[in-house]
Amino acid sequence: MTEEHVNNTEVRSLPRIGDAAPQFEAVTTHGNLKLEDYKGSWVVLFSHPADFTPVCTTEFIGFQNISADLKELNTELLGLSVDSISSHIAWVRNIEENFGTKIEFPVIADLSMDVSKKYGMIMPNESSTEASRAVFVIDEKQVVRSIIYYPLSTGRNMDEILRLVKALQTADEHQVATPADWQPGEKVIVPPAATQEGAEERMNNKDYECVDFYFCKRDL
Amino acid sequence: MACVTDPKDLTPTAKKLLKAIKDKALTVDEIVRKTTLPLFIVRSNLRHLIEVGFVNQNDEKYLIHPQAVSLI
Repeated sequence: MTEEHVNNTEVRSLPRIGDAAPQFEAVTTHGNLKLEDYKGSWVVLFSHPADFTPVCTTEFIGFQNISADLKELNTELLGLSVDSISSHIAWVRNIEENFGTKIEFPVIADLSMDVSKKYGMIMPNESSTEASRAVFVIDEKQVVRSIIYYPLSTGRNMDEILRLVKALQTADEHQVATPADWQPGEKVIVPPAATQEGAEERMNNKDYECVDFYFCKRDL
Repeated sequence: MACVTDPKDLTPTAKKLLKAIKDKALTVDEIVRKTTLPLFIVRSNLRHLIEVGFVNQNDEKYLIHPQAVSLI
């Protein structure tokens, strides 16, 4: 992990796709949690700028709305912001009172910015006191599988986060890739042939729908 | 961290977990199945309950400490 300083704020580079997810222990709305507590489950670790703000409130309701679908994918949600545990508790209670949505996933109170700096969630040239809207998809072996970043002004798309987890798990399970805008149930991409012989064989495979040797799809 | 916290103040989740291991030592996976609690919740609660002396660990299995039985 590299470090630099921007406007006197320490900036660490974010973990990259394929890296081991940085380990941490953090105070959360569900008590002290370690990342290693999630071994065996996938995790969607996401940060938000601040409690009691409108875009973040819509996002929290959105994350809660997809939490049951994520659980069916053996995936847990874990939120984070640079706020206190009391603020988190007050905010999730406020969301339930005002919007009728009970937030069931844990939220990290990262006042020390320990976790947010480990994951490169602070964008000092946007805000040095708030986390950006980051999403880290971490698999059951605690490897970072995907990273999404949105700025403070723009709420995230929950359907895309759910689709992303499904696509990653489908790729793992069937050794395939997924095309643009793929949805579960649609055809998947067969990895390109690596040899001339393999390309010939591929074009004659009736189970594949090939445009050319490098572009073949199939049903799962 | 709050200025006053009682580490032995048990949450409903902790009590549910302790009840699951009151009569028989169980593995983490067995506790998950018995309580239907998420895996990460079981692991984090067990860690805390061992720290405060309410749970004993023997190899891969967990059992309530006799002194904690009266708390559930």
